[in-house]
Parts: sequence; C-alpha cells; structure tokens
Amino acid sequence: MKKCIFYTWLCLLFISCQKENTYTVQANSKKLVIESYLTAGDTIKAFCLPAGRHFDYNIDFNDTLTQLLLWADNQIIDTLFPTLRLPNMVNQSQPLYNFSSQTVAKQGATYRLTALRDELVPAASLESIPEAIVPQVNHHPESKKISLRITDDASQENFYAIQFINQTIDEEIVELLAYHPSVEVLYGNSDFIPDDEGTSGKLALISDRFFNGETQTFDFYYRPVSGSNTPIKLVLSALSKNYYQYELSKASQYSISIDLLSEIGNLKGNIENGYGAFIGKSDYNYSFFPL
Amino acid sequence: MTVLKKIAGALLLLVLGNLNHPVLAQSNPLEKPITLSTGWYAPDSVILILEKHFSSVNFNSNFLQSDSIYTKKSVYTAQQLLELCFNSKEYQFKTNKNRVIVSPVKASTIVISGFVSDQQSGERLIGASIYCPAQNTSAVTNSFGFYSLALQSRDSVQIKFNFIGFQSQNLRIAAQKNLSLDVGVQVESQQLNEVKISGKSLNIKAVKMSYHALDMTSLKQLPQFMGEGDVIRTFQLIPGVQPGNDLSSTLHVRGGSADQNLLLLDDVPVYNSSHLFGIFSVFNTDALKHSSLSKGGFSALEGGRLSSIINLNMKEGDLKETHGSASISPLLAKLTLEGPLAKNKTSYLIAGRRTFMDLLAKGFLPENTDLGYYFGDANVKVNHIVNRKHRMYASFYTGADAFKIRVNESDFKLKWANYTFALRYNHLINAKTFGNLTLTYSQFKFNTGYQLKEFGSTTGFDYFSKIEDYSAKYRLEYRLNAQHLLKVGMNYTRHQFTPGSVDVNQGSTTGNNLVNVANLQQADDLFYYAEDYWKINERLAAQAGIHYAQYFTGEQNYHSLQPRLAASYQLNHAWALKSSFSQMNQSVHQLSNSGVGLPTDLWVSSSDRIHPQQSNQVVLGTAANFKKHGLSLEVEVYHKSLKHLISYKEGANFLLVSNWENSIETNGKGTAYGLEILLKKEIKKFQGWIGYTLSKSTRTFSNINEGKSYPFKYDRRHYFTSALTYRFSSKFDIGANWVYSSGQAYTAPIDHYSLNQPDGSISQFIEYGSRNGARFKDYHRLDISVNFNKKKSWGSRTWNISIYNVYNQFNPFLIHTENSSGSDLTFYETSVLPIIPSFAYKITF
Repeated sequence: MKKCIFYTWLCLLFISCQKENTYTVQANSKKLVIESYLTAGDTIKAFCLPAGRHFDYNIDFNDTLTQLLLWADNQIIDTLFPTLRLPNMVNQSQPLYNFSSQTVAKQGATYRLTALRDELVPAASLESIPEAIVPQVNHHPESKKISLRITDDASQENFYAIQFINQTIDEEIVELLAYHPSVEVLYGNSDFIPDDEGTSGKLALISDRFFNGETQTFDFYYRPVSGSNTPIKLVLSALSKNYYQYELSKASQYSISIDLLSEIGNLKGNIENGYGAFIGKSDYNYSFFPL
Repeated sequence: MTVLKKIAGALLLLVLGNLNHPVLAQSNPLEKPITLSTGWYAPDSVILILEKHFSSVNFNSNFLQSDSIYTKKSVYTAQQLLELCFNSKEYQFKTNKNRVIVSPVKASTIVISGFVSDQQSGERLIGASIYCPAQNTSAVTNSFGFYSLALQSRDSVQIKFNFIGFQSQNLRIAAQKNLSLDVGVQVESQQLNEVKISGKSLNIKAVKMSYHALDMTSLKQLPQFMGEGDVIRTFQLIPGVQPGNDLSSTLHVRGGSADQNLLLLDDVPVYNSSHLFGIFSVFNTDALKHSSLSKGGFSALEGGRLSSIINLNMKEGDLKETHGSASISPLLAKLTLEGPLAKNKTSYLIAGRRTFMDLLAKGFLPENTDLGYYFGDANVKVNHIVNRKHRMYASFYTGADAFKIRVNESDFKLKWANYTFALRYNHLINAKTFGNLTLTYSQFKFNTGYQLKEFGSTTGFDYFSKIEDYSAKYRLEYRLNAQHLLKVGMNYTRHQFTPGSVDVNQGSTTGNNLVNVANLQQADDLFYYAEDYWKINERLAAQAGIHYAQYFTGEQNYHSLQPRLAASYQLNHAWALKSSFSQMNQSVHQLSNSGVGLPTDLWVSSSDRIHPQQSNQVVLGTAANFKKHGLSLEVEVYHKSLKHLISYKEGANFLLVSNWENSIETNGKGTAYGLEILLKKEIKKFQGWIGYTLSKSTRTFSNINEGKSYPFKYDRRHYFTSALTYRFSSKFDIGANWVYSSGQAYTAPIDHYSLNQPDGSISQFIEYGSRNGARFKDYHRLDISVNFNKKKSWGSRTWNISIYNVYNQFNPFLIHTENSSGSDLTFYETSVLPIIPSFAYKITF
C-alpha cells in the first residue's frame, strides 16, 4: 500500500512538472557598445564592439572595421587605434576590440568620443574629468584601518570611489570593509563578513548628498593577504556623476547575473545611440605597507 | 390683537369640534367615503382602490400588513381602509395635495440586543443579519456574533434572522422596552433539494461596500487544487482581487502589492500566508468558521495596510456534542475534532494537517542521503462561556514548511514558520454596550543554512529573518439610538524586526569564527479610532470615522489622522447607490524580489528614511438585488493613489542585505483605478458568481525605469472569473471555475552585448526594454470538481474529484533568456501547472 501511494504521488508529480516553450527573436539593434574609463594622467583607451555579438576569436581577431575619434573643443584631436593585448593563455588572444590613443586625459578637460562602423548607428558621448581631491590620510596598521578625512566642495555635486590595490604584478584588488552608512560597497564577498553592520567588497562609492560642503571622516578596513607585507595602494578617485551611476549599475548587473530573484535593470551608461560608458575620474594615490 | 386671536381660536375649535358631521367631514380628504364590495382583499389591492380616489398613496412596502383583509360593509372612509391595510397604532396617515402619506408614529426607542448562534452547535455566527421589516431597520452580528437593533417601541414587531446556509428565523416579539434576545438558527440541510431564494437583500442596505464574505460551505463545493480547498485562492476569484501567478497564494488587491493585505486570523496578523512556496495558503478551511475581505470603504476600526483587510475566524468548537472530520488526498492528511469540554459552557477545536510524502520517501533514499519536504499546521481553540455577559476565547495557530537535503556530510535546510496566539475576552456591559479585549502574539521566522563537515571541521552559514508582534486591543460598541451606532477603540502593537541575520561558521578547527550580524529593530505602533454609523433617514445612511495612528521607531515618530467615510442611498427596494473615501497608512513593509510572497521576502519597519506608505481611495458604486431571480449585482469604480512605496534596488539580493536600507529605493508612487462588476446567483441549487475587472495600476520610482511611470507587475487590464456550483441532490454536486485575464507584465530583454567585468573577464549583458513593458500571453484556465456525498450510520463520507486546468492550457509562469551563439535572443517561456487531476476522501462523524 505504501509503495502504491508513493508511486501514485510520483505520477502526479511528473504530470505537474514544468513545460517549456522556446522562441527566438532577432536582435536588430544596430548599436555599438563602448566602454572607456578616462583617468587623468593616463592615455585614453576604449573598448568598442557591435551589440548583439558574441565573441568568435577567429573572426574578432581580424575585425578592424570600427573607427573611434576623440574630440575636444569641437575638433578631432586623436584617432584611437586597435591594440592587441598580450595573450592571457597559450594559443588564445584577446580580440581586437581594444583601442588606444596617444592623448593623455587631463583634469577638468571635456572630451567627446564618436564611434563609426558601417551598417551600424554612429554612437557618441561627452564627458568631463573631475578635479582630484586630496584627503587627510591616517593609517592604523594595528587595526588595519585607513581613515580618510574629505572636505567636500559645496559648489558642485561630487562623487568618490575608494579602492585598495595590492601592488604586486597582478595588482590584485584588496577587499575592504566600511561602516559609514553613506558608503556603498560593491562586489561584496561573503567570505569577508564583518562583526557588525558594516559592508565589505572590492569598491566603495560615496555620494556627497549626505555631507555636501562639509568635512567627513571615513574609516576603511582592509584585509591583506595573510602574512604578506607587499605594499598596498589606496586609490581615492574623484568621479563624474556618469562614472558613479555606471559603476553602481554595473555592480547591480553582477548581482543580477548570480541571483535569479534580483530585480533586473539596465546598465546606466552615457553613450548616445549605443550602450556602455565614456566616463572620467582623477585619482589620488597613497601607498603603505600593511604590517 | 390678543382678543382677535382668542376669537379666531374659538372659531377654529368650533369647526374642529363639528368635524364628525358628515358634510363637514368631506373637508378632510381621508374621510372621503369609498365604496367596495364585501369580501377578502389583499392589502395591496385595497391600496389600488385607494389610488383611484387619490393621486397616489406613498408608503414603504414593508409597512403593509401581510394578511388578507375582510370587508364586512360596502362603504368605508379612506382612513378606515388605511387602518385595515396598516397597523393603525404604528402608522399615521396624512394628505398633501391629494397624496396620501403613510409614516410610522413617533415613539420611544428601545434596543433589542443579543447573540445569534448555530442552534445545533452553539457556535456564534458572524455576519448574520437581523431585520425588522415594519420599521425597515437592520443590524449585522459582529465578529463575536453580537448584534444590537434599535426600534421604535411597539406592542409587537416581527424580526427576521438570516444567515447563509441557515434557515431564516422569524420572531414576533413585544417591543416595549429594552430586550435581550439570543437566537439560535438551524442549518438548512433538510431543504437542500428545494429551489429557494435566500432572503439576502441586505447588501443594498448596508453602508459597507467593497466587502466580500465567503461562505465556507460553498467554498468546499468549488474546485480544489490537489484535493485541498483554499480560502485565499477562492478570494482570487473576486473582482479586484488578483493572484500573483500560478504558484502563488498572494493577493493583489486593486493594484496593491502582496504586503498591503492584512491577514487576521482571530484578530492576529499572519505575516506569511503560504505553504509550499505559495501553492497553498496556511489556512486550513476545516478550522475556519468565517472569512471576509474588505478592499475599500474601510471602517475606522481597520488599519495598518493599504489594500485589503482579510478577517479569518476559527471555529469555536461545538458546545453540545463531539464530532470531527478526517480527510486524505495525494498531498496531505487532515484531522479536525471539536466538542464540549463542559457541555454548553466550554468547547474546544483541534485541527491539524500535514503532508506525508517525505515520510513515504524515506524508504526509497540511498544510505547517507536525506531528502524531504513537508508542510503542516495546527489550529487549537478553546471557548469558555463565563456567563451570558462574559465569554473568553483562546486560539493558537502554528504552521511550518521545511525542506532539507543531506548528502553524506553536506547538509542544506530551508524552513519557515508562523505562530499566532490570541486571548479574547467579550463583555456585554449592558443591552446597548459591547466590549472586547484582545491580547495577541504573532511570529514569522525564515531560516536557511548550509553545513559541510569535512576533515574534522564544519563550515557553512545560517541565515534567518524574523518579525514578532505583541499586541493589545480594546473595542467598544455602543448603540446610542435607532440612528446611531458608535464604535471606539485602541490598539497597541510592539513590533520586533530581525530583517536578515547571518551566522557564518568558517571551520571549527581554526578557532571561534562564528560571526553574527544581528540587526534587531523595534517599533511601537499605536492607533485609536472612533466611528459612527448614522441612519439619516429611511433611504440615506452614512458611516463616518477617524483613525489616528502613531508609529515610534528609533528617534522617529510618525503621526497620521486617517479619515474614513462611507454613505449609502437606497433608490428603491432593489437598487442603492454607495460611495466611500478612505485613507490608509502602512508602517511595516515587505521587501520582495519576486512579488509572489516567497518566504525570503523581508518584513522591515519604517525608519528615518522610510516613511509609512499611504493610500487614498475613492469608490463609487451601486448594489442591486433582484429577488425574483435570486440575483444580486455590485458595480464599483475606484481610484487609489499610493505614496512612500519602497522597492529593492536593481540587483539587490536578500542574502546580502546586512544594511537593507541601502538596498532599496524609497518614495515610490503608485496609481490604480478600475471598474468591477460582480453578479451573484443565490438560488439554493445553483450558486456562485461571475466577476469582471477592468483596471490599471502603475508605479513610479525616481531611480527605476529612468523615473518614468511603469505598469505594476501584476497589472492586468481585463480579469474575468466565474465560480459556479450546482447541487443535483444531497448526494452529488459539481463546481467549476473559469478564469481569464490579460497577460502579466514583464520586462523583456531587447538586446545583448559584451563588456569587461571588474575582474578583467568579458561578460554578456542584457539590455531590457521599459520596466514591465511587455506582456505574457493571455491567461485562462478551467477547473472542475465533483463531490459524491453519502450518509452513513456514523456520519457521512465525501469523495471529491477535482481537475485543475482541465483543457491543459499552457499559461506562462515566467519568461527568461539564455545566451545564444548568434546574434538572436532565445526566449524560454515556462509553464508550471498543466492539467492536474486529484482526489480527496473525507469523512465527517
């Protein structure tokens, strides 16, 4: 009897299992994707490819059809050229969607990037690089804590990012922990759980909406690789608003990709007629030894 | 001047003193002689004769005598004929411009009050109607079966007691002073085969609108999913109330979210109403006596949620004899017992149910493996009558779901549970005043965890969230006079929230790595209310109330003064117009990723940053009763505005919300409006309703959908439902539901592209169209069920056979995309519930 009931139940369960319909919709966006992080003092680079495409290393390696132009003061100042990055694995090369220029980004400057490719909609974006900010820095090696005292400029809306980078060849990002409620920590990692309400992750973002025009102190805890005393670089970046919004939404996309229940959303970019971002920042660097 | 006045007065007296003279009598139109033949007349035919001599006779049809009249002579005055048609002591007759007006004689007011109960079990009945036809006055029993009816004093009056499924009780009583009258009504089972129209015409007289009470007997005749009737799934068939999706037992009322419904089980809030991830609700229909849903025109007594108040009352237990029921279906087994602990004094109810497949499956699992899922719940209630004026109830509910999977040393668990407890004390202070004190406790807890034991150490995590409520409330009802019924009261609740705590064990061999992120938050929720039901005249009635709420959390104190107004105007004996306005506040919020009421959804408190949600709702409607056809009709239009809504930010994940306030968007707005039509058939053999809803609901958040307004996830333009049952005989009945609705809104992917990820890898990103800008295809489904009943010497047995989704309609549950190799997007449309036959066997004894 017990078996009979069990198998009856199994039958009902099979009848009730999910059924799936599949259909395909052609993606005809004809749009370009650009991702370009402008850092004051660095040459301007970009990543650009057609939307709706997946990498095919055989094809993409030889793809040189996209033209990227850099503008300043309504004049073309540079043409970005495709660059071949070093293969990161034996017999595997990165595709030719990386572009470089010889122009060095300047603080306070405004640039425009345009992208052209046959049969696709031209894309463009405009971005200004904010001025760097110099904080007061206090290092507390005994508690693995860095205190940053930031005086905010009340005349404009400001955004900041903080990151710790291990200055080895790989430039590995060091996980950080913040307690300040106005700090948004992105790319959290569950193996660095704080002992109270702090949040941990790889990149901290701050908007000045909570301390506009005031001085505020932020404490950040870092977690070096156990036992190593390689130098760590603290990078405090002054971000444009576009940069801040893009980073936030990109982190959301990362969560969406790992959690089916997450609220879905789009990347908040600033490319006209395209996807991605052309965003600027100015860095302040501070190096220290953790031990 | 004074002398002249005295002379005029004397002349008037002289004239009036001679009115008996036949010639002078003609000056009073009511003394007009009227000729008719001797014999028996129906009162309304006498009125027709009178109307030949006057332009009209104005009266309420309820005033008319029901018995036939015998005329002994051929000539009567109009006054004499009117006295024959109406009770001359209770009514007065006047003329105005050749119109006769019949009105009740003014007299002192008396109050008849008491309890209405089931004569067989002694169980008190909620929502029974008490009606005095002669005075066109009515009352309804409250949630403890108490009523108070104010009447003009008379030698005697007839009072009708009606309750769905029970025989109508007509009593003629002396009504000269205040009277206590407890009435028992009998179940209508002996008349099952009769085609009879129920005397339920009160819906047009009641001020209350947007209100639906579910008859628990009819519910059992409707199709049952997997052999188990469900009160929440039945509410989903009412216009304006829509389900989340196929697997959901949540309700979306008039464009509201799932958390905007207050579910009260014996006055205790239940925070999670789902078993089996939402397929079933936590309410065992065998333990329930009464259920109702209010979706607008809220009373001042109600508060704390924006969209609906759902009251579920457990049975009190039979005071006279012990009986029970047991049932089994492919999914679960149930047992209910009730009876007296002390006859006519104290009763009990115990009801329990549990799924059993985890127990059966145990024998089929490999060694070192454990896999199982179960849900179960228990309802217990004790009812004690101290004396007629004092009564106490204690009720308890617990229900839990648990899923576990253990393979060798790896162990995963998922559990959620509700606990509620209520202690209620009724006090009939006097014939006019009824009081009730209630103390309650409610808890909802969710827990999930993973443990891996290897090399002598244990690693894993344990996550839990919890909400607890401790509450005390007191309510007074006072019958001031025939025109006014006052209700006042207060409610205090202490909320304790733990909206997400994680314990992590990183390996016992490396030391004490147990880390706790507890985030306990407390809040005090206090409200007071006062409400007056005012019968302004025979046609017009109003209900006006004020609900004052305070919410203390941290250093923040929120106040709100919420007006509640409703009015009803009876056009004639069949039609009434109704309107209402209600403002509601909600201080507790549910953060939901899915919107379908999963146990992972977090309950959180208002705070400095998060204001209580607020809604303003206006409803206009009409109600009609077509007694001859056993039909009633309700048509309502509503407009609801919502503000201070919250939502998860894009990408927020419930497991990572140690600082949940940073993971949400606040200050959202919403709008919902629509038209609802409900047509009910109330003939005994053929019962049920059809409903139609035309509605629109939107949301606006500054950081979602570029700040543009977008459709609410469960916005459905058209929603048609029918729920019909036909009783062929006491042995056989059949029920069918058919549901048709516009497709559910979803956010459709429109493009995809590749970008660098922070770790240097290249990932695919999907570009979505506007939020909820696309629609699933339309939804429709037919369910049927058949009950075969048979009486036995020990009681009765019922075989129920139900088929869910009879014609196996493929209704999309979700649409998702996966990366394809080319430039095209491939969509996967998943359906989860095809045709599902089931059965249940039930015995009652």
